[in-house]
Amino acid sequence: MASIDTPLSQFAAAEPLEKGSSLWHDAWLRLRKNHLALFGAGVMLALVLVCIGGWLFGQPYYDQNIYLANATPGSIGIRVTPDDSPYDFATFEMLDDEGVFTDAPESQALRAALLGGKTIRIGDNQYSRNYHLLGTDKLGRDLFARLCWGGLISLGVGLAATAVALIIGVTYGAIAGFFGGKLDAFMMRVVDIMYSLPFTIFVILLMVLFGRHLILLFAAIGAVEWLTMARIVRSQVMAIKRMEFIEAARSLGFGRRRIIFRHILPNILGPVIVYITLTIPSVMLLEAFLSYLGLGVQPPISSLGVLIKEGSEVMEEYSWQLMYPAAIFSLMIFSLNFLGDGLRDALDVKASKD
Amino acid sequence: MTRFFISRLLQTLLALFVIVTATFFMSRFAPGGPFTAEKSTTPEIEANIKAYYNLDKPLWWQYRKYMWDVMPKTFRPTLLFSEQGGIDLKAGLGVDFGPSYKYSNRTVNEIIAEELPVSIQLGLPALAIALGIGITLGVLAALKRNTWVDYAASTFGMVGLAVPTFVVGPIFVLIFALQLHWFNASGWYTVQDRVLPCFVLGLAYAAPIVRLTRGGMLEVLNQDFIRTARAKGASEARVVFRHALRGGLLPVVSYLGPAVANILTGSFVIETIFQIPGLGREFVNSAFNRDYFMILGTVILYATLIMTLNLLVDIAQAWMNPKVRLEN
Repeated sequence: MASIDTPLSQFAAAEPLEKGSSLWHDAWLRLRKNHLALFGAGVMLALVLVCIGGWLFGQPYYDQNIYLANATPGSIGIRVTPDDSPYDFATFEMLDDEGVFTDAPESQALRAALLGGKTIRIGDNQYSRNYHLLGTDKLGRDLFARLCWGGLISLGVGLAATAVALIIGVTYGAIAGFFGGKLDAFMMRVVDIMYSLPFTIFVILLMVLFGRHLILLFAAIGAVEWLTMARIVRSQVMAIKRMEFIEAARSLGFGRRRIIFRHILPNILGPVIVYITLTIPSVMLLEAFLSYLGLGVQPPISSLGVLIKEGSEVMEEYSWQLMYPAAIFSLMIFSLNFLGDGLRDALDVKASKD
Repeated sequence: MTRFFISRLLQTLLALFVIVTATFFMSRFAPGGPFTAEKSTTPEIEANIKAYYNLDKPLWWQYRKYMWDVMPKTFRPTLLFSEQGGIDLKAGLGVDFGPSYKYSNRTVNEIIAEELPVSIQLGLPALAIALGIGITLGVLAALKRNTWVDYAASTFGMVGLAVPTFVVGPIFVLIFALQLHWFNASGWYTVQDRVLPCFVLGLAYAAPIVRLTRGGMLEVLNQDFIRTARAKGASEARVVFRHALRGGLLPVVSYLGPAVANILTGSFVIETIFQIPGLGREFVNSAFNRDYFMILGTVILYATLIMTLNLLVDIAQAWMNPKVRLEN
């Protein structure tokens, strides 16, 4: 039996403690086994990279070309810079009325040179090849460029509105959960009542009646989505604040703010992250829905919802204009849902509703 | 249970009041008015129109009058639903939603009476399709967990959640109406007109039902009373239908409240895509037209429906769950 005055060095010399395994490390190990979730994350990452690449290095999404409206995927057009003097070729009688190269030898030579990837200068204008991987829309805008831009806008709206929901929801839920009692009962009753309101109608009314500002869109969607966040955060905070380490913090004389921000909030990060990944797709769906009704983002900015709407208007003749945006949009929602579900399993979050 | 019921009822009434008030003032403070789109009228004519519709009175007066008009004052179910399938809110409930500004000479009551039945005719088959497909696939997926049946059903649920109706709708039209010519792309007169919209609407709600049923069933199937039922030799069918289904469908019941209201009042998207003369379109159109009473009428109708159904769902759930039923 060790006496009281055993030197501390004796403990240090004992076997080293087994290295602890953190919550995040465990979660990562579990997530790594979930192939669907990893697949979702990979697809999402790839889509975002393609969108950013297309936006930075591709053609401008707003460049119109009336000669090449509704072109099939893989069409090749001519890009003219500066774009306020399009198709000077016509004055050189290289193009016919429909913008097609004539049979004249010099015209065909020019065409071959352009197709070969050469940039040609005539006067102040510069002509180069414009490859439309996914075709063009009714104004001759490159669909791939619009898709990249629209995808980023859709994701951006999803992120921004989720951030709004996150800030409101976490603050509200943390206050209700931490203070408890009458305040909590009142605050949660308010949430209950708001839950039963037909919010989609309100968002639509708001957008129709007060114009379609992007900020209003974020605020409206964020205001709908914070309710679930508040409920989740509240129930987590209530569970955690009864734990011993919070009591310890309190007995050390820490202030309420420090306890909430330093001790409680970091411990509810798991459920919050899970909920964020699941909120982003639902916000994107809502935005696409509003855009489909013509109430979302306004032209020339596009979002995937806008592209789907425009595509479905001409789907009889030009079905690819509907198919590509619809496929990209569904793929994004799909991967985000898989990722969210995987994270929920990995972090072992119970989707408690009360 | 009684206390629970009364408090939920009061909460519902309060929420309805808040909705009507908020919508009333929101639509009034929005820029534009119902007559701004009209051809240029002389100020006298406009003043006359406004006086005719009481729009020249103080806003507070208008609000009070409207609130009184839409308050249910009688209840005569025989008059509410006529034999022709019409709905007379004025005679049946004493509810008067006022005139429509856009469709002159028609009241909001008349428009609702005309268009709500269409939406319901669209909604009921869709609801049946959603429940039929959703519950069947969900139960099968839970029973055959981790087999191809489960994966197929879960994939269906995932796809249904990720692909919104305004994508499914046009694609179905493209395939089944324009390419294969099985059904019609729009209209609301023959069976061939109605198949596609009902299916698209139904599929949209089937997907979440699959997921909810599967989750609920899995939870229930792991519980002791199911093992007991199996141990005493009950057949698999009896275990599933008599014992498991009741608990396993609890999550579906709570989802059905808002879903049924959404389905029955018609989906704007479906009614727009398939050009169906239902009430769903009016939600958006009336707001665009600043048709004040039409906005309010549709919002009140929808809100009442959704909140009544939510109330019913809460009560049903409390009743189905002994833990809640026996509290208080």
